Amino acid sequence: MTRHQKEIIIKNVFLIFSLISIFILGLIVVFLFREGIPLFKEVSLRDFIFGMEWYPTYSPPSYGIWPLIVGSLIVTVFSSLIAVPLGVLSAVYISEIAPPAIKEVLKAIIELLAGLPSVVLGFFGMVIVAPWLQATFDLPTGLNIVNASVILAIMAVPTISSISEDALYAVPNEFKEASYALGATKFETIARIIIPSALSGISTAVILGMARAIGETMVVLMVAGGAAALPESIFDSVRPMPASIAAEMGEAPFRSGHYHALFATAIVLFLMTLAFNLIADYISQKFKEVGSATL
Amino acid sequence: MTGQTVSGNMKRRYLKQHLFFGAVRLSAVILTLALGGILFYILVN
Repeated sequence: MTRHQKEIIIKNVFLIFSLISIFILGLIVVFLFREGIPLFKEVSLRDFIFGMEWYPTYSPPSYGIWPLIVGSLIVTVFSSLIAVPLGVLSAVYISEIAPPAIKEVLKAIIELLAGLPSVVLGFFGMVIVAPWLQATFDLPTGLNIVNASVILAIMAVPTISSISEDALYAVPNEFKEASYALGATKFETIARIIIPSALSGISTAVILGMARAIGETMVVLMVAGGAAALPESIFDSVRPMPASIAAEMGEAPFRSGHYHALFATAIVLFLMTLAFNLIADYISQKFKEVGSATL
Repeated sequence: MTGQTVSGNMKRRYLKQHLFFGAVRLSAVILTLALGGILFYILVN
């Protein structure tokens, strides 16, 4: 066999494997829509999205998922408020400030955090954070938005930190040298040269971290409290979409209204995570011209 | 620019720098404590 023939075979093997992956993903999406869309024979899209009551087992049932959407968004926003500064600043520390020994230790810690199973973190939230919140703030339950946000933030930090660190590391040394040559301090070089140059990668990291938080199931199932109602304070329980799907899918009769409603909820969740990924991609492309530091 | 203004500017620059580096180091400490706390709890219990 000639080298050229080998090249062609290898190229086609890679092509076949990538097409198989895309085909399987496509089938999942088709299945999701096939099982979700029949709900809209019973309920209008407007009532489904903006309905305030989620009582799928009542007679007659109510399939309004607005409280679930708000629950998902609110825990994502609050977890991002915690995870974004922690993740980005730790990435700056690792890539620009830390001595080599500490850098290695911190990188290992972040990789360990990324490897912690979500059920372990959820368990930690249930047995440590929830009782502490309940006792400290005198709450009826510690399973609430704050608890879910803190645990989700711990889950999102490794994603944000490692992608941001890669982006910061990719900033060309010439930029830093030019900044120092002009008399800038280390802080000014980091704040005005390195971070703006790595903005595309950092923004991508933030959006992917948020996408991770919004799609996370086990943590919100365990620590968000499970109340399908609009929250009035950050200490109220919520029921984000993934928690609802995971908790109810086992008990929903096959091809019932409830079953289709859960698949329709999954479509909404899928579209939201897709939007996050598209935004990340757009930001990554938009800021590409800022230096050569892009992911 | 008088000597006092220059000194004021430098003070502000150093303050900003200290605050930034403080925040950066604090974030690393928080991350270490978070993981350390979780691992400690799992191992102890």
